[in-house]
Amino acid sequence: MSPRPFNCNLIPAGSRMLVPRNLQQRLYPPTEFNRCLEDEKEIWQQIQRCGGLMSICPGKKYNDPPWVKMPQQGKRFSYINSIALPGPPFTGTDTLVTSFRVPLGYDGCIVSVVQNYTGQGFQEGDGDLTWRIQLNQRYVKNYGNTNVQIGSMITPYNINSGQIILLSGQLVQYFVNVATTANLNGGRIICSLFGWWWPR
Amino acid sequence: MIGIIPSDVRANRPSVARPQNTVVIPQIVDGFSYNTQLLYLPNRYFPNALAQLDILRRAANMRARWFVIPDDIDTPLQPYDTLYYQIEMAGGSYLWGYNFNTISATDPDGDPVATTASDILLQMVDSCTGVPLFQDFVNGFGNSITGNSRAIPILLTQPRLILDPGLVNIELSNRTANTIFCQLLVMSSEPCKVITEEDRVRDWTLGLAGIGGMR
Repeated sequence: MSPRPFNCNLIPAGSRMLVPRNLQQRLYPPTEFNRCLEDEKEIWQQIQRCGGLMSICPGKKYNDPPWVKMPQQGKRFSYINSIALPGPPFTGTDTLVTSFRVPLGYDGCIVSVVQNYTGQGFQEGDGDLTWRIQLNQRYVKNYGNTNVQIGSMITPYNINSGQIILLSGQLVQYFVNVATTANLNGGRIICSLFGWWWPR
Repeated sequence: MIGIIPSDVRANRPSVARPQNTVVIPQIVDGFSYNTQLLYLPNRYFPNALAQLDILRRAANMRARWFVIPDDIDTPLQPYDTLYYQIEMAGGSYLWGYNFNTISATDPDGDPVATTASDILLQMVDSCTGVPLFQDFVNGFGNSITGNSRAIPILLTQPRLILDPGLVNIELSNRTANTIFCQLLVMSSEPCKVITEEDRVRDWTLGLAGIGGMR
């Protein structure tokens, strides 16, 4: 071992040889493999300069973001459904109210939601009723655990500029959960989703 | 024994290869080499994925950088909620592996409850290109390491280049009624860049010029 390991003028290179330190004192000389990495980086930077992957991918290009303004080829959807209050007795499990699957080849967005209860005994936020919107296996951010009513069938709640984006083939499900200790009487639970989808 | 080297064919420069001229690349010595529990069988995923890392492992001036998400392990994932997190790595870094696991959980009453990695769904998106790592949210169970597993960490099929500005968006989605504590470990390799005194002086001069231009 060198008695002065940190003051030596040679450092090991990738080729198992010792080479003189460079001026920066800390960098190893680049190898052939660094050139491979640089080449790949150059290719991807060139793609980015040309507009990114979207510019070279096949598919429809829209002038405006299709989730902000419905394109001409867009199709509206509205899924409105209601179920009778599941109980009593209440099981505390999630009950499906409405669901749909996004058509293959189409993306979409949910721009309005409605969740209501028409019976008696419900206090907003008391936890007797919990609504959840699920996309495939995950829950939509901020819509996975709501226990207040949102909107009405006359004036649906608009999710302005923050639509829930849907991807082709996704399964959208609207659940309601009635707590086991709920003190509700009769009525129906309404869940509705409005929006549009557009061809990719 | 005489053969034609494929690269010489591409260069339209046929030549002969002699055994004594065969290039033997020395074995890479790193953590993967020292994992004696791995069986490098040719039909298994891990050794093939590791082979895709070969260029990155042999390149000089790349250093490991690991990110933990969330950075505070006591950050809870609320029931039915999604945690958004963004990590920032140096432009030109390579994302090459990850590992995930859940730590603990509490039920809605606040009592400890058992949890597994399948309670969480993951997604990672390169913010520069918008290309996600997975086609949709992926179940955490398939991305966690059990005590019996020897293939640590999970390797990508090939390292993913992260261009400037080097941002990766992470989403962790809790699909249960429990509050869960978990951690995702993202492994990357970033290029070393030594900033010399001359670089600093140049940047400082440019900065002054910019300020002067604004006046």
